[in-house]
Amino acid sequence: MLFGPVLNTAMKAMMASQYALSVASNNIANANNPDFTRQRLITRPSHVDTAWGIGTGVDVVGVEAFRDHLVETRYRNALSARSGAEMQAGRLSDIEGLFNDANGTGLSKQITNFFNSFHDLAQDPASMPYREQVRTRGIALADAFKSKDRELSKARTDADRSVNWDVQEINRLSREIAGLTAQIKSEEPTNGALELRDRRVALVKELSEYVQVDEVDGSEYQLSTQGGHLLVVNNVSQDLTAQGLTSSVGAGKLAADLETRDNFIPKYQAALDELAYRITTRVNELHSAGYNLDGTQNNFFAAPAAVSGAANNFALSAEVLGDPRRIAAGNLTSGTDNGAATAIAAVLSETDASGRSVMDQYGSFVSTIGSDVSVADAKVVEQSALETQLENRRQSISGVSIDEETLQISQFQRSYQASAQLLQVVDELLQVTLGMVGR
Amino acid sequence: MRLTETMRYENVLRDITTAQQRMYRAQEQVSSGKKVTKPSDDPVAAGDILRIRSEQSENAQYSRNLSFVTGKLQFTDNALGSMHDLVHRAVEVAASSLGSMDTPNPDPADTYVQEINGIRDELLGGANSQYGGRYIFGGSAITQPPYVKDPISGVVTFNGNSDPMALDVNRGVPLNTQVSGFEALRFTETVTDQNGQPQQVEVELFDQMAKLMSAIQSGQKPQIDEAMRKLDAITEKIDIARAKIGNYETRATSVESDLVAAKLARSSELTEKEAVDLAAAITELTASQQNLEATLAVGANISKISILDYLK
Repeated sequence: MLFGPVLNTAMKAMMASQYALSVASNNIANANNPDFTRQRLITRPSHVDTAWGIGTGVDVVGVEAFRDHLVETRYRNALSARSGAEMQAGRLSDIEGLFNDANGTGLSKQITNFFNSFHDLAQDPASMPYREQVRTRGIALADAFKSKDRELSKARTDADRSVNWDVQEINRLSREIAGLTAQIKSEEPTNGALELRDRRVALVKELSEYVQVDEVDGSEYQLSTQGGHLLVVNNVSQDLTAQGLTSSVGAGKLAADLETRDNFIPKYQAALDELAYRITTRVNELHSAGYNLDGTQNNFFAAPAAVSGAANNFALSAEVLGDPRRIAAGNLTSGTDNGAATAIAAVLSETDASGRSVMDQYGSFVSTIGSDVSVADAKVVEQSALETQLENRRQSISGVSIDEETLQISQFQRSYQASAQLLQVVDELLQVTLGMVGR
Repeated sequence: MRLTETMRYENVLRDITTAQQRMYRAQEQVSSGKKVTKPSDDPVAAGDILRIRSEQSENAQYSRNLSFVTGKLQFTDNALGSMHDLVHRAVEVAASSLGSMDTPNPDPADTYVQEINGIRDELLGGANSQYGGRYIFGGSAITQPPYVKDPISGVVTFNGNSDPMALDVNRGVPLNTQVSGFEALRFTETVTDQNGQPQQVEVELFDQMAKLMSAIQSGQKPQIDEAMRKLDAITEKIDIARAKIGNYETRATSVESDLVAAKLARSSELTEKEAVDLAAAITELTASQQNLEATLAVGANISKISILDYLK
């Protein structure tokens, strides 16, 4: 009878060691999964109801996962910010490629060539070849503006499509999270559902790339965007609609696409329109005051209806397109002085009310794009650093260290060996005892 | 702080990526020779570079304008010079005719008239000179001959104007490129008429030539004298016009040196803003390469260490 408890204690110890080894083995197996939270066996001394309070061994109570909710939340938020900044920098960088005069893709060459052609015409105002040159360069300028505007519109459509895709993904993830929450709730009482929680954390992390979320995990589970849109309540998910969303929905890829679509691109298109309007209106003003080779007057460019859309509608007037003779070089009715041509050529360096020339205006437009990209790039660097720091913190708490697990394995190995050794000793002692009886 | 394998590997990877990016940037600068390959590299410099390039293009256009102007002015100067000599010759012929009239055996008026007629036709050709296919003495009437001789009456009329056809040779610097026949080949003088009233009378080259010819034909000495005097005055007008052209040429020379100076200034400004200091860039490239190598070496070594090597 005396050995019974000892045997029982040793057996429980060996079982506990086996369980601990299982947990360690599970940790090692999942060591490379960044979303896995390391686990530890929870044990408790068994309930004592023997004489003199001698302990009765160890009870396995459960498995715990090492996670710090605050660190996880902060990490997720940094992830959202970094994802958003990266998406923003990428989109703006694409747009910057459209206006990179250093690589020959901008508008400056077409603009200067166009005005230079009027200088040539001023040398010989009766010249047809020079008129052809003016017309060709005018067409090149108009086409350049049109194509840039269309590229911007296309980028806008792409951003819009992205927004819809982002919302779709958010909704898909919300639904999965809701499903998992239901599973967790039903399985937790029986088997702890630790790996289900890990999976949910991974899904929420994926969701965070799209939009920053606030998670409340108490008796009720609730997931909502930083901007206040409810996504998941317990096992019910709520779809987000793309309609009426602004970047206040929360940092992330969705907000970046919304900013691109609703803020940056319209800003660039408006600036392009203003430049187009300025050029066409001023040239028309000077041109229609002059006389062409036929002694009549007409516009050089098709007059834009308004500032908005001036870039997309940039075109030569029907008269000039049809017949280069309709290009005016002179201010006298005979049409062969060079007053109009000289005046139009000088528009390139002419300053407006704010002291900016056409080229200054274009330069400032390109600078704006450049600095928007530069700011976005800086943000990526900044957010990446923060994200890295928080990821390291999280890993430090929740990650698996193989060295640590290996040492633990040694530890459990020793304790198992010790318990097994104890069993051997007890067995020998029992044999001695049995040997004493039955003579 | 606990360290996990994941952390170690992630950090090594991150360091390698950073070193690679640094090397890539250095490579880009060395191979392109530029600090600013896109606006975001330096937004303010990018705007400046655009402005400078545009000014360079403008400057090149002004240089082209200037060469055109210089060529035209020189041609005009020569044409005026020829015309001056022709008028002078006509006056000499008239003087000879006067001299011959005083001799016992005067030459027939016809010989002199014929010669002066020939000179007049040469002068007509000169006044209708073309540069690059355009008439230069008719102001803005460059497609039609400014001086037209009526085939029947022989009267020469001027169909041009006095537009100087100015061309911009630098920002806000227009240069006149022509002197019209209106200015060079005629003038007005005040004359008192029979009633003692001052009258403005026009004195014009071809008109005077015609008067000279008819005066010689009819042997009217005072009229010949008068025509000779007026033609002399016209040569002075031609000289004044030539001086004006000379002035324009001088201005053109000074603008040319301005343009050259501006070209150099823009060029060095551009280099300063855009070009990379090659020595510094190559040093950075070498440094970043070494940095990458070191990172790779260290990364590889760290990941070798594990307790599993030591457990028996």
